[in-house]
Amino acid sequence: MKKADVVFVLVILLIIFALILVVVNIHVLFPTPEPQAFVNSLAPVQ
Amino acid sequence: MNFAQLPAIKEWVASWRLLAQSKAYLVMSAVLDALFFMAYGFLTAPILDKLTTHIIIIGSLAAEQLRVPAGRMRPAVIDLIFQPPVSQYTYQFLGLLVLLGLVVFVLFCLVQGTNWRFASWLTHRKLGWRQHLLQFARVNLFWFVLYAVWYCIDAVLDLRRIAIEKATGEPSAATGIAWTAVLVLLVYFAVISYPELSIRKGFLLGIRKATTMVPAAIILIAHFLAGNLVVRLIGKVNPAAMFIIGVVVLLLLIAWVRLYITLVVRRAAHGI
Repeated sequence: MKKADVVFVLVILLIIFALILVVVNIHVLFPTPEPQAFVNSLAPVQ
Repeated sequence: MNFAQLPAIKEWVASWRLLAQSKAYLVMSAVLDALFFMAYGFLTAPILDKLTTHIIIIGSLAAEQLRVPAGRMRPAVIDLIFQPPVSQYTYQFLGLLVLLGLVVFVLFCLVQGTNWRFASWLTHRKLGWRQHLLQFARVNLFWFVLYAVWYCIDAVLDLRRIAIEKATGEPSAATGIAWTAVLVLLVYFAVISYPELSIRKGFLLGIRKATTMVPAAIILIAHFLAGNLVVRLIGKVNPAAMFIIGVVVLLLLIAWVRLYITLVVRRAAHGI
């Protein structure tokens, strides 16, 4: 196996690891209000 | 007219024959495809969940802004979603779309690129795994950007529909079949570009060799419809068997599709 192939595999593994990390922490990175709090924040329908 | 002499039919016979001879390919392809679907579900479900939440929030906030007293002009939905308080969720929504695109792109290029390489290896092209994957990613980057544009416009149309429905209380017109046809065309040219790993050839073959490619596409769709029908009929007798046979039929068809498209495109590519 060539050195370039090893680097390629390592880069792919690194990207996959980073993506898994982001997806697992998605609630921290993209916060949304609690459903009930959000509904209460809306003005009542006239 | 002798149908057996049609390139799409000739390659159909050749592809099933090749698949029957290449058991190692069939197993590897099925394993990788199963892995792809599992990883796809695991990685995209939380993002899709967040996207849905954002669509509801943006739609509700925009609808609230659209409820203006009688006599005053309603602001445009597209302006509203980029103004506070909606804008923070719109930017998050766009960020989530980018993340979804990135996840699907990496996963697709890695797993499907490897599987397409197996199919190419069996038929004509002898590229190394790294080179094939890099070229596959380059070709897919173009298709993914086009797909992202399509998806964003579709999402904006959806948002607009939800906001108008919430504000007026009346159902709004759906996106329509023409917009779906654009996606079908996109997939058609993308799939044709995979065996030769060339966007230019994808378009050239898709248009100039449409007499070969369109019948091949119809044959391909017919296989999936027939598979679906068989699996549904089995489901009426035994639901558990439907799941197992459904998975087997799906993985088998996907493995065959790659060989079939590769053979059809290779034959058609000789003529241009």
